[in-house]
Amino acid sequence: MRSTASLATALATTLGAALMFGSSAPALAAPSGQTIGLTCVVCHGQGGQGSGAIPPLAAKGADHLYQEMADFKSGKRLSTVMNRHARGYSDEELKAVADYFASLPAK
Amino acid sequence: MTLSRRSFLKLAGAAAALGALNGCAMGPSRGSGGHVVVVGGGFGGAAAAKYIRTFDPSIKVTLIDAALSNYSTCPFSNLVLSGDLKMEDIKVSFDALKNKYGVNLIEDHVDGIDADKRTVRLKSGKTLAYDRLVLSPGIELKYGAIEGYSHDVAQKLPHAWKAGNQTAILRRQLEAMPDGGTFLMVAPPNPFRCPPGPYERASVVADYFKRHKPKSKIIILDPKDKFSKQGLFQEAWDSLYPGMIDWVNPERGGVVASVDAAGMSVKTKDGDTLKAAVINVIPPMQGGKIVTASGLADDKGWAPVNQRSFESTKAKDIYVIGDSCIAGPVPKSGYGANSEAKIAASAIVESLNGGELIEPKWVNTCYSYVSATDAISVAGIYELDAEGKIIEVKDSGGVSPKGGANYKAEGLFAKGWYDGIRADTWG
Ligand SMILES: Cc1cc2nc3c(=O)[nH]c(=O)nc-3n(C[C@H](O)[C@H](O)[C@H](O)COP(=O)(O)OP(=O)(O)OC[C@H]3O[C@@H](n4cnc5c(N)ncnc54)[C@H](O)[C@@H]3O)c2cc1C
Repeated sequence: MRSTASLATALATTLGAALMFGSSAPALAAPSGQTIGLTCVVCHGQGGQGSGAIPPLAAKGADHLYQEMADFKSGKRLSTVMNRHARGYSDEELKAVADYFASLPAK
Repeated sequence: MTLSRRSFLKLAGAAAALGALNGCAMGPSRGSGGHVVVVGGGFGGAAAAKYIRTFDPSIKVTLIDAALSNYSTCPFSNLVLSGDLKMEDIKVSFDALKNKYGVNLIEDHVDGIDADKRTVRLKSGKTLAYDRLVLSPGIELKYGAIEGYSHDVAQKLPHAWKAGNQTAILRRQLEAMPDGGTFLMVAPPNPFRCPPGPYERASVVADYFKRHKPKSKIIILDPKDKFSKQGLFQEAWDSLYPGMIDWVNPERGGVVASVDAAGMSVKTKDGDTLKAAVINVIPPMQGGKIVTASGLADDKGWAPVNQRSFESTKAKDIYVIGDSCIAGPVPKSGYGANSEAKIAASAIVESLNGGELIEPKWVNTCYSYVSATDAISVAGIYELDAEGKIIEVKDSGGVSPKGGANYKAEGLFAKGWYDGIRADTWG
């Protein structure tokens, strides 16, 4: 079983990297959309469903989510805490986490 | 083991889809099996147990906590002290971990670890074998560091730095205190659990006094020259509770030498004796006893860990997370522990499945109430540098703006955060 899993993982990583970066060039390691997303759900609710006054993220369009984060990052849009968070991520990371939440089902 | 072409393709396809989505595998149905024992069901341990089961349901997880039936959260416990919440509001149920995520629960104390045999020894006499061990035992208070203080004295001069009975004692004392009394807090030295915690406590107790005992005073004796969100806290104190809170830094005599429970007084290193109606002693602290007693800590009492996996640098297959571990600039907070738990959970699942470690990223947001309704925050985003050290991402994070314009909104978001992290950890 162990060998199966590691083979599959190796393949997954290679394929994943190839799909993400579109070439065989060794990619710079970056955290995945899920890795980042799982730090967001602490405030934004399980599966990105929101928590009290904190808005949901699930099933919002990826472009919309990315644009919001990019605007928080640039300061074009103001928020209590999201400007401080958005500046912690590269453009690629913001795209990855936007894709992650866009892929989750709405309530 | 040989694999039919068909099942290989199926596995590879599923894994590849996952990999494409995630850049690396951190998803369900890895299938290795194995047994993970988690010690401590607080912010770190409970999240680790839940996410190991989420990432790979074939792995059996057993969570052991000595206080399973009465774990209360430290976050929001200061609002119990101010009378704005009740004890039952901060109590946690482990039912969902068991029923929804299939985590085996054991209420018992772990007395020892045999890292070679990969077993833990329980107080009840049982021995449990593990493939991977997670330790998230929180902190141990160093009572002996302050003369006159002890576990017994803490019944009269509570620390309330582990929530539960201690919180209830301090609340009763504040309630019984007459108007015009003095509440004295002995603040801890760095590093400690929840850097803004003592100052949030002073703030919400001041709000309680303002409403119910306006002639009362608060003195904070502090061995530190500065503290978390200091500018914001002091701004709030000046505008909301002018003259009520006196923060005494080391230069002004803030370092405490001894406490006298019978005389209800505190003696500073400078030789002054201060009397008070209620005394809250938050002593220096170190990693949980199971960590220090098992040789997993450094000489200061905190556990060094590989910063990518949270595996102990002193013992194989043992992962230390939460307040007990050393995680560079990630603060000893519930949010930090939760963030570390997910990285460790992924590392454990990968190690059992022979996979690769993921590229990590951590987040912390600590809201602090400056009154029963108003809050401020500090945020941090962390990543690994080229040498494998955790660093704060440049130009990110930081504290709320001054001026109080966001107080009300952040008060609401703090509540959303609290409900959110409870759901993410135990729900
Ligand atoms: C007043 C206060 C306010 C706070 N506010 C916030 C906040 O607003 N936001 C925030 O993010 N953080 C906050 N914190 C910090 C937060 O509470 C801690 O950082 C967090 O609890 C750490 O999680 P942990 O898993 O390391 O330890 P804990 O949550 O303390 O869990 C440890 C568990 O391990 C068990 N245990 C220990 N040893 C053994 C053993 N040998 N056998 C069996 N069980 C064992 C204990 O019973 C305990 O249940 C606050 C803390 C305080 C004191």
